Amino acid sequence: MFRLPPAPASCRLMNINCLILRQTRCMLFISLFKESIYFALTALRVNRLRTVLSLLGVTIGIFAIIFVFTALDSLEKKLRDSVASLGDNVVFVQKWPWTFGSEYPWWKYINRPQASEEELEFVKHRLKSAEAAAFEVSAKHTVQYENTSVENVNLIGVTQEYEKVSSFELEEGRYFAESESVGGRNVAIIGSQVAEALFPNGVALGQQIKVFGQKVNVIGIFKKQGESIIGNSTDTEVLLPVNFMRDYVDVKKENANPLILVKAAAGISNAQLKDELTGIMRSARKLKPTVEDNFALNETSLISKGFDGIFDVVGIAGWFIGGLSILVGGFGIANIMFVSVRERTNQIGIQKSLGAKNYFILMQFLAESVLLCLLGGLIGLLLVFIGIQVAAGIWDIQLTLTSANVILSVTISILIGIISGFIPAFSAAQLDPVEAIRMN
Amino acid sequence: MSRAFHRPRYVSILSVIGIIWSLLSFLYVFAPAVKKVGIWFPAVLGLIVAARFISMIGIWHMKKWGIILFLLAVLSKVASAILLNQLSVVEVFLSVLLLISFLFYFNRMDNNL
Repeated sequence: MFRLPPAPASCRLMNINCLILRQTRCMLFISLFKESIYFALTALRVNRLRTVLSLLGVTIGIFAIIFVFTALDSLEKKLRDSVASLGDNVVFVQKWPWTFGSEYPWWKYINRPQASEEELEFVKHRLKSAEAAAFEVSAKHTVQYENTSVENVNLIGVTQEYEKVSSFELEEGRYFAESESVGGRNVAIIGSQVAEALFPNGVALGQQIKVFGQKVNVIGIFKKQGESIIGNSTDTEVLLPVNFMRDYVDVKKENANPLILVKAAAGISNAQLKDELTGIMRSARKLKPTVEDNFALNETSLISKGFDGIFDVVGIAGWFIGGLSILVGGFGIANIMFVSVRERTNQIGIQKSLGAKNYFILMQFLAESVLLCLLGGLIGLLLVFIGIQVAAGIWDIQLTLTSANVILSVTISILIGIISGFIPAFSAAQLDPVEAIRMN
Repeated sequence: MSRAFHRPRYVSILSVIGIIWSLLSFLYVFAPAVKKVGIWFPAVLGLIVAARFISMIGIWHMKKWGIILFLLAVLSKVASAILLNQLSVVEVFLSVLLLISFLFYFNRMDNNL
């Protein structure tokens, strides 16, 4: 056993002795820690069936919580990406407001007039806090190319400034020229899914498709966006000049869903834009001061807020179920640790009689409990990963396991291991060595 | 247990309350609201809850380190709450009340692990 030399009178030598003692204690602690891990791994390996059954509770709990959080995070990200494509600094002037909830007072809005191109011109001339404004109508119709047709395609009719207010990218081709928009020329930009459906083996750009029975030249193809939660993916859209579309669709009717899009100028908030827009629209519609607005100014934050409530409820449900499951799993771990302590009481007595300190016995059993829970957590994570692959393969649902959720699952596993293993470990550490050796 | 470390009924009741409070707080550690604060926050909060739970076990066994650990847990919780602007006066008051109650018996507790 290591013996320190007797401390001499000089202070310098005293300090050196303290340093050596500290370093020795540190190395001792590290070696004791390593031994605890070794003991824990041996114990888990010896009783494999018991190990597997014990960690099932933690595995199921971690799987439940992390899978729900993963699904929610992925859905939330998809929603935010979809909403971002609409533009978070764009205000939509429409008849119907975007509100969510069970009580939607539709009778207040049903007699409101639709947005019109004349109002767009009025707004553009007077609005100072906007970068650009555009008019949009939409309709669903069939699009054809030779013998191939795609039904229920979203036809969007827009004015020239649409490219400034909406964020989209073109894979090939170009946007409408000013003359094409003003003249209502028969040109179109088609979505990637429409292009794939109509031209599976060929090139779509420069071809002529049929829309409303008329030949239309394809001048551009949208970049593939993927599925959108709010249904505004350009993949299934065909963009046309509104002046072309008005010959086939009544742009003043509700069926066409006419709306005005206004993009805020740099440094202008949506609230400021809405304030100015309210005044200008009221002026355009000649509303008296005592009369309520007969138009809605919508923004993308309303969509996010509407879904926040749903995500919160699902998140809380998943957390509650998973949390209870983990807690029950923790009780199971604690139970098994008590059994483990009881089984090894003799061994503990021998260790203590040979000089093992209380903290070493405590560390031994705590390490076993934490390792058990960590193993359960990792298996739970593996099950989440498998679940994600199954969801992607069978239902084509893309989920992403984020690093935040991985860290959360590891943290929960370690904590439940510490909490559930501490009482048995502490009781083991308090055992009297003589009584422990005597016990069968 | 020797007479010097005999646990008063008052400490027994408070320790049990503290253990139940810690277990219920542990559920809150991985709530969605906590996750939104930051990636690191559930881990920190979990450690504080675990420390509080362990301290209650220590206090149940009339150990001085139990009270010291409880004090550290309370200080950590208050510090993190202040940093995140989520200080709960009720929780701080209850924690301080518990701490003062335990401190009356500090000299009667065991020094060892």
